Amino acid sequence: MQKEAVQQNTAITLTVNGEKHSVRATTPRALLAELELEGEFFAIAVNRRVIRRSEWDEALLQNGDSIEIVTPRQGG
Amino acid sequence: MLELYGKKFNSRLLIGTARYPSLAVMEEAVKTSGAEIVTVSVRRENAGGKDGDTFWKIIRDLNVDVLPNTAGCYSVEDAVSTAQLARELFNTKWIKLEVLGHKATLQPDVVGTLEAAKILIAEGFEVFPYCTEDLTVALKLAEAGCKVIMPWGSQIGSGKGILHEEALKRMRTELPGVSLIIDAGIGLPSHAAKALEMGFDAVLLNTAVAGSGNPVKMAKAFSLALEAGRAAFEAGMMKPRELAQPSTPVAGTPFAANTANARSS
Repeated sequence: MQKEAVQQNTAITLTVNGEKHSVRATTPRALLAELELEGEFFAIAVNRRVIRRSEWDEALLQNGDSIEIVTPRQGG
Repeated sequence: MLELYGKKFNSRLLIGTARYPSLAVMEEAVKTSGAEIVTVSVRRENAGGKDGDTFWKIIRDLNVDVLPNTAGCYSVEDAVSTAQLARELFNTKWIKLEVLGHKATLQPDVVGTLEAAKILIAEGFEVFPYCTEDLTVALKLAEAGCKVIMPWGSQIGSGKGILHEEALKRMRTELPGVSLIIDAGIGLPSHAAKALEMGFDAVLLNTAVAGSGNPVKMAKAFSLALEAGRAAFEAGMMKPRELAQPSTPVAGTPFAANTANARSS
């Protein structure tokens, strides 16, 4: 059941960091892997709601969701 | 000591991490500046990228406190969402709140800033709002629960120094219990020294160091200037006078006419 939740057969369309992506991932962690985001330090929001790291395996992504994946950067 | 939301610091400099010639220069400049707080931002990661990791590992090793910003946000909604992401990313309640209102001047939207500050404070954030020299806005931010307020010296990245001295002095007088930080517009160590001489608690700057001819050397210069400015404030200025007053005692000046004899003759 867990595996099916992570990978599904039909692709869904997500807006990730402002760009449309057709993906199979249905959880934030699977999405990071599918997009080959290899860093360790991310924060993720789905439809503006922050998904805590502890929920990355559980939160289900749905077709049409808007996702922000951010990292620490230089700032003033 | 500088106190920000109950945390104490020796250095009165908050330094930005952007616009340095390289990450190595940034690292060296931050160390040399003596700053114990650095500002950082939250940005989208590019697919396949590890830029965030590279940067973050350097910051983490500097062993400083991190103040994330909401730079580039032009709406309350974006600023609040960015703050929430920053809290998750950096594991801190601190947020440098920027809600901008005008692209050319990067002037803060003070109405939006106040609104966002209220929302974030209700969510448990410790807000460092970037605002103008406007006194009523600062009073309302303090009333909303901001224990730190950061008025601009002049426009972000302009290096023009402190343009609204009278208004900022008034703000200092009216908000004795709030930590006031001059944020933005500082170009030279003398500007920073002046801010502290005026009784401001600290200075936040970035481009003044990062964009200088030698960031590491300039970081040292700011560190010295802030030390001088604070010491001057604590010592207290002499009483200014309208006209000259000789500093060397007049009595006993050689070759002077004997005033006592002159009077009797």
